Amino acid sequence: MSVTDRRPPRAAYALLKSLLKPSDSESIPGDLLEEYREVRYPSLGPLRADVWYLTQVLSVLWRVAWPCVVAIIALRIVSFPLPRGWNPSLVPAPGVSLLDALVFAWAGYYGSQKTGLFITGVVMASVTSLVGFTTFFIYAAVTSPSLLLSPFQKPFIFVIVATLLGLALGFGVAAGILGAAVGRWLPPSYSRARAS
Amino acid sequence: MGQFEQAVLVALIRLGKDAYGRAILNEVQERLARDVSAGAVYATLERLEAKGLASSKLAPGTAIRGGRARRYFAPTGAGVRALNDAKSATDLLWRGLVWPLRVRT
Repeated sequence: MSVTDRRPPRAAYALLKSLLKPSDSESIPGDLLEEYREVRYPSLGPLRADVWYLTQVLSVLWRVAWPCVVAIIALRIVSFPLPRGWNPSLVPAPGVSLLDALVFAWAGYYGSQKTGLFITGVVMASVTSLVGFTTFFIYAAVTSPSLLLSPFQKPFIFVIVATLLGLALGFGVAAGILGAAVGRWLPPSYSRARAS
Repeated sequence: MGQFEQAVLVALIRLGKDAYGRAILNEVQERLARDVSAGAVYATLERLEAKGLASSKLAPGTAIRGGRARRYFAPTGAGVRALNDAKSATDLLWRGLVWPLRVRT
């Protein structure tokens, strides 16, 4: 196998590309690919080199997504002690409330403004929705530990959880698309004068 | 200017004309003697550029990068002045003290 045949995971590469401004879309993936092929793959082997690559992509994701992640976790923390009904929901499920929609739309707007790409907004909204859903279940598991075991007693609960996750993700993506469309329509926030 | 920004700017000076993303990441890791994520370094480089402390330009890529361009960074005059100020401030802070400090018992 030649050096140039060593390829990092396609999904991680696609995720990385979706997070970068057009001006960085060659240089940053090129840097990571160079390190992957020249150093990580020979020294770590294919699996650990892929894990290294994914870790680097997630570090780039975190740098873009952290305000959205903080916003959704803050919303969850504020929401938990409040009575039901203060934040209207389309259906009785986590992650589909009015305030969730606002956070997802903002995440979409923020992401697409950050890079000038529509896809970044959609990715930001999806990540935010996933984190919001996970936070809800962590809270539920901490307050009612028996919930963790219930899917193993009644496997159908896995189907319910998967449905709720799909609902939350779909809702997040839909709201994110609206925000990303607005963000893409307006001029992007970055304005670096780079000599390229 | 934060410590990490200083570390990245110093790396640009040490690397000179070879200061591109991967080399900067490795240099910062070596100097700080810890693992540093690519995201942290790229975000810092972006911030330094936005502050006018560094500039960059693209150059052709090599085969091992799949032909992808390299972005080379260099400190601006303002960046060098900011580093000098940071070093002077640190030196001033330590002036008169004997290094290493001794723990009083």
